[in-house]
Amino acid sequence: MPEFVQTSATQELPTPFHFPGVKAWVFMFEISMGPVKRYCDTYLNLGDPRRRPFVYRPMPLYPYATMMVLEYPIMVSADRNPAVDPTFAARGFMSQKEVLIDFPVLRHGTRLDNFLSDVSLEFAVPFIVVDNATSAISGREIIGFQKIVGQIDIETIVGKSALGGALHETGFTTSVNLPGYDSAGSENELEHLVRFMDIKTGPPVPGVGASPNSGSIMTLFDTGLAAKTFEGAAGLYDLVNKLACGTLPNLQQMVALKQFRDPSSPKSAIYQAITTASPRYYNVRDIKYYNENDVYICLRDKGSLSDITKALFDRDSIHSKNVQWLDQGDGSNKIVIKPALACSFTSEIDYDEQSILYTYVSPDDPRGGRPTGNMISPWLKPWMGFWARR
Amino acid sequence: MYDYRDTYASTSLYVDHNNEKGFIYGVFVATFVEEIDAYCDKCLNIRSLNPNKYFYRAIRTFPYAMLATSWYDLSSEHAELRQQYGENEEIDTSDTVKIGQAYIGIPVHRFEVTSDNILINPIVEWVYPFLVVNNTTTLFSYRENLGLDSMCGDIKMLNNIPESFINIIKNDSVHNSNTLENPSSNDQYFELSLPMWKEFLPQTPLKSESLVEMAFWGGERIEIDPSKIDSYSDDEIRAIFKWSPDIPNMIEQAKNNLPEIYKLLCGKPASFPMVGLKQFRDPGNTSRATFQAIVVADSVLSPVDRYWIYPAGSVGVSFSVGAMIDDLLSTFMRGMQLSKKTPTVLHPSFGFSMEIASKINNVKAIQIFHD
Repeated sequence: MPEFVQTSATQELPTPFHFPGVKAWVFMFEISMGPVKRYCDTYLNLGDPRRRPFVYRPMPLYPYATMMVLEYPIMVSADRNPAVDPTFAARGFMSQKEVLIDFPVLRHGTRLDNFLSDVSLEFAVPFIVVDNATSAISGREIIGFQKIVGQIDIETIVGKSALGGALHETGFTTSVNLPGYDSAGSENELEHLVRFMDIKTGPPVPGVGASPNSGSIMTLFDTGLAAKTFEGAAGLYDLVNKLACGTLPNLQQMVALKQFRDPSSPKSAIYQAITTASPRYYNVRDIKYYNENDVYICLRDKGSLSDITKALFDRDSIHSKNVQWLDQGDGSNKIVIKPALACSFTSEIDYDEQSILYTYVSPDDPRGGRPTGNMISPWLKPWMGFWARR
Repeated sequence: MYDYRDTYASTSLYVDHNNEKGFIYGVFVATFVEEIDAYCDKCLNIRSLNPNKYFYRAIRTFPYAMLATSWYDLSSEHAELRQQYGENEEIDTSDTVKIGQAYIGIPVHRFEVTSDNILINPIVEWVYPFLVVNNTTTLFSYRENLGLDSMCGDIKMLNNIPESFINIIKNDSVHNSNTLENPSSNDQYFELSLPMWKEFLPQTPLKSESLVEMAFWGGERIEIDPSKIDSYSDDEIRAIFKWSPDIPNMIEQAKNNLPEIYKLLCGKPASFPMVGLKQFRDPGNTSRATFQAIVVADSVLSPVDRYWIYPAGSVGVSFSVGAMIDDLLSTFMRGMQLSKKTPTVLHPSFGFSMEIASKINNVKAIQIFHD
């Protein structure tokens, strides 16, 4: 591959990235398998299935999507390539807010010899928005994440209880506005910011909100002791992973379709490949849980934003009482989501592992169909490297 | 060839395109052929396994850069093109946006390279080493469809010129015009701010900084009727651009070597084909490109109605330096001797503004690089 041409104004920042002190709010909610299957077939299982040595499928045993709201106070490209002066690591830092939704997908081989060796649990990201254009450019052009730039407001509400006492968190709110159109496909409407999402929570538990359902996993976290136990477990995972020389499978291997239009035939792709990125969360701390009965998540199914909701939800086959469509009478809907779990934590995040898994089409191989050595299952990869011929 | 899979985040802007209800304010700045050659070698004359079909060089007879800002109330794909290519029925990617942009455009020669390494058939294309847009839909389209290395920033537009900017121009010893003291209802001011690191230090936060200020005092501007431009003699055209000794020379050079620029300066539709390097990093090795190609597009700029020329004393441009674009600006404006402490004032020979429309089409990758 040729060398990437860069200047001091290059917007596509190179990895590795280091993000210390990231504050994350996580909401898990039930999702039906129809949209997940449709996503796999539209964006991951491309081309002739007889030539493609793998297939992506939904994970019916884990029918949950995760919505994450992230606040990055410091983002650093730690690239120290001496050919670039000054190195990106020496340039400075930036900040951003991000909201994403991911769900798990299972990849496995389609032949006898690779059925198990290429098994991997990965997370597809059907929606991701940031408020930093440089981050959006880097995510889109390096990994292929479909990042857009929007307006994200995050507020942690602080107050005192009715009886007074010290200030404490009484709730958390987020709103997201995206560039879009009130009516899909209108040629006379100018793009403008449209409200897409609102999230509100009550105080973290133990708190003053309603009690969780008896069937909720929230009951597990109804005491501070339980939260501390999980915080300890997260630290323990870091320690064990270090002792195991990084051979534990990364639970957050994200998968994306990196693609760019052929300028002379825009319906076709001039480059198309499956890529992965594995953010590494460590030093997880300050874990707090919210009572899911106190959490309100609302998405707007309106105009051009329907493209997002269509990819995530199947209105006709809704079987979950936890996702409600509320007709607004003007052709739009509000989608109110009741999460199964809501929590927040602070963590360091590093992006230092990303790769191309499979190239569908590229200038080097216009007919496509080029797997890389990265297809191999994460649990097997360290051993394959150890025994490989050198 | 595989189908492109549209998502909510796809953009098809600039695959074939109309910009309407727009205007442009610009100046020409003398630059240096050595610097343009170096830029061409770095960004376009890339060495790869496959022989280069084209070779780019500065235009020796026209070493000027255009610094301009253009705005369009309506920027959209061709409706007929959407039908021709067949939009994804599930996802509508049609975009209609209002855009403001600021850029340095430089005309260069693209030569064909024969098998004997002889350069033939030069044609003029424009490179945009510095290009800022004010909305991200256009930003992604420029980068991913046209291969233009663009950035996202804020461009402020005012009908009155702030006192602070007037003082910057006044304090510059070279400027001796009294135009600045006479505000007019036709005055126009632009300020470009860009998220950038003012200095390259690890503890420096990326934040929006004012980078370029540009003002056009309307009191002494001259309106030109493009429909009557053919009736002007060469002497009359020279007389219009009479304020600087450089201008007749530049007009003469444009007329003899770059008829399209001459047409624009005469207020007529002119072709400005653009060229960019479309490239994306390899996620596994980010110092390499997983895709790298020269992409060209036809671009026709049509003055639609009003056209004004601003004499030398009626135009002011100042630059504040930030580390991220320091090398870019000092490359193309080497004579400016950019200062890190105070804004650097530029003295254009003249300025122009016109109401315009533009069309971009025939986008194609003319060379894909392999290694």
